[in-house]
Amino acid sequence: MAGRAQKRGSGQRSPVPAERVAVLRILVGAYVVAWSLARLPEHLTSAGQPDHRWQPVGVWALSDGPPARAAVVALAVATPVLGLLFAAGRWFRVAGPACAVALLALATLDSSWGQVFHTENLVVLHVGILALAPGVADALVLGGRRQREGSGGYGWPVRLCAVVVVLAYVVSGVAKLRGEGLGWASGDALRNLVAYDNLRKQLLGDTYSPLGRRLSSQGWAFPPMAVATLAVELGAGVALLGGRWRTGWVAAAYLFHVGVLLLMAIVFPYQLSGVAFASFLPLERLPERLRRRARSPGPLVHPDRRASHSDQGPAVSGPPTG
Amino acid sequence: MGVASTIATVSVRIVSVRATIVSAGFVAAVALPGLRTLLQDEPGDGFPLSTYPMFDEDPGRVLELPTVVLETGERVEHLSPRLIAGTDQVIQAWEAVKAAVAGGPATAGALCIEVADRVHRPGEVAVVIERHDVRDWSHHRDATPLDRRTIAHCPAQP
Repeated sequence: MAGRAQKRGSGQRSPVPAERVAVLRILVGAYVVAWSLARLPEHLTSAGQPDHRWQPVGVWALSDGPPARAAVVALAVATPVLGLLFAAGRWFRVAGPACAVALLALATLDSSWGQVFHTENLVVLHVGILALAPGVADALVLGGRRQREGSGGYGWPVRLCAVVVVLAYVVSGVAKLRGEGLGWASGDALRNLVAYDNLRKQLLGDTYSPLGRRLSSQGWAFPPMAVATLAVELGAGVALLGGRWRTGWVAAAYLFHVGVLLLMAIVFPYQLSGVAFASFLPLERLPERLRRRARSPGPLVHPDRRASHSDQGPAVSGPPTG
Repeated sequence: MGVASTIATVSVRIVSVRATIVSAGFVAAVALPGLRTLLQDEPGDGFPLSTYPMFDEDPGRVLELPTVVLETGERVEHLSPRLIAGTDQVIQAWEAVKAAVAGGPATAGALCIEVADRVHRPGEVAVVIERHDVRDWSHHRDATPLDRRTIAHCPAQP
């Protein structure tokens, strides 16, 4: 399985470089920091929710009641710090798993007050995968630690992150067919869902989508949207073929979430940030491009290069040489 | 060099076994809820391993929706999730209202009092069920409900 693929390379034509999984680590870790900081006020507020609303799921399922306020505050504060260490690759053998556990506990806590959120599933799974994979902090570590030679095996965590994304979308598509059968593709269910979700938001004094409300008066719009939704979800496996299939599916999935935002005012931040789909992409090109840009002389010419770029005007940094 | 080569081979095998176990574990964990969806009538939901049941069933066109409003004279104001349940999450507030209404007049009354303590304006807080035609609403943003019935009411605490 993944082990054999590692020896051949990554299941792709050439071995996956350490930079790819390192960039993925940085992006996912940065998202964890951003998410946990943005949600910090709410995490601190939820610590004061009444006990009778406690409906634990996942790792909190066996808990009789919500955790103590001090524990919630500690978790809410620790998670962005651990996310930072995760992204930086520092002390990763400890910080990686610690970040995974903290994020799992905190995100599951969010889902234990009567609503199971579906926006953080992928980031929790991705952090878990990266925390368990060796070599994730072999490159691009803050502090410039040299890459460990020969550790290899960089492909499987990236591939697994992509597989998990595909599976999540397929499961979502299966749920739709299970609920309404192929009739879901007719668009009626989607039309009523869009209208219902927006109406419910209005009745609860929340932000809703005026576009979604107006569009749900137009029945013709929904059959193609319903078919497209099912195609993106049930067809997610094509992304694993690589090349244009991968790029096409990632673009379609991203646009799907833009559509959900526009029509239902529902934000999937992990997807809309693009980080959810990063594992499908050749991320090692990012540091390569940044290094090339840092090396290439632009209009602000270093004095040592004035002789080669004399038409670009005087140097703007450092004293003149010679 | 033979020993070094052996150690390297063993290391690669350990990484390979670890990769296989972790990969198999995650794939099974994420895929199993999908299997449960196919095999069970009520597969439930969880986190982070989910059946992703959102948007899977047609809610229909005419719906009864519980909510909490502030009545001041003729004016009816729908209260925010923050005022209803002390959260910024609309579905959490929704679930709180649903549970209160399902629990009967006593629990609806308790929710009413809880909300009234947060509303620092004059008026009457009411836990209500509104019946709407979603297609009518989609045509007219200010469409009035087909009907509204009050489950509990209590004075706000200005």
